[in-house]
Amino acid sequence: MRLWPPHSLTTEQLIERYQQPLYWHIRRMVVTHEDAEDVLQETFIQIHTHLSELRDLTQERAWVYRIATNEALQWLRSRHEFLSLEDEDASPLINNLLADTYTDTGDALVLLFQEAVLSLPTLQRTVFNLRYYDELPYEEIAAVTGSSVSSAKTNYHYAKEKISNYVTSKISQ
Amino acid sequence: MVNDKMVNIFERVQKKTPYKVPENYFAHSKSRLRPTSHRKWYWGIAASLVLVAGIWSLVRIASPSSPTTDTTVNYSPVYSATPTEDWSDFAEADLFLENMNW
Repeated sequence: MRLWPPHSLTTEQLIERYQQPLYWHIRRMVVTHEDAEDVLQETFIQIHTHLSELRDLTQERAWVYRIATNEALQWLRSRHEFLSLEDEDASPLINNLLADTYTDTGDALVLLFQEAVLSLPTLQRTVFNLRYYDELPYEEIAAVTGSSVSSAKTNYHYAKEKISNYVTSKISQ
Repeated sequence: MVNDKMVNIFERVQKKTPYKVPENYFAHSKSRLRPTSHRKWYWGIAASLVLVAGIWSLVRIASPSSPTTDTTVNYSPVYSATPTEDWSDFAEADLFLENMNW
């Protein structure tokens, strides 16, 4: 039985495994490429610093996603682009999406869909991204967001409904 | 009806996003991610502090005039600019010797 360190996992291995998925997760949270780079860098610094605190390797993915999510939320909070997990004002993020150099404006429906995602309250948006794009099981989503499995399922259901309503209402205008 | 619309939109989007990255971003980004760099900074600062402390200690030991390390010097009040001892006995002795008329 290994006592110390609790595992032989290295930061380099985690970078290898999670660099791209975490980049996209963070990017969907903070929107612009430059900000996503900064938050990703900070995320791996936190992962490296706290790697010895990861005891259960079956929780590895949830653990790295939790750190990335917290870093992204902290970044958003520092930019006053949302006040709490329930805050609904997504206009700064939508403005950033439309203004960023690395936004593909070619497909209007995809752009509108992402606007709808950004208009969700932060917790719902986080749950939606983790389930829809990252395809995490609800148990891991609950671990990442610090909520229950049923709460994660409910948030995902409402998020899908809101996105659908947002897109259809904009199209019919 | 709502479910039909939902399925339709989600099918059409197919998990695509409008987010792009610079060309070959992930091919080169690994070299940009240096998670241990901050730790190297800490070690660098710590090593510098130890080096400075070591040099300072050596200078203190090597310097004989240092008042904190040289305990052999006798700081007698005789050498003081403002003597505090009573010199009257010596003055009286001088006067006595002068009056002896050798």
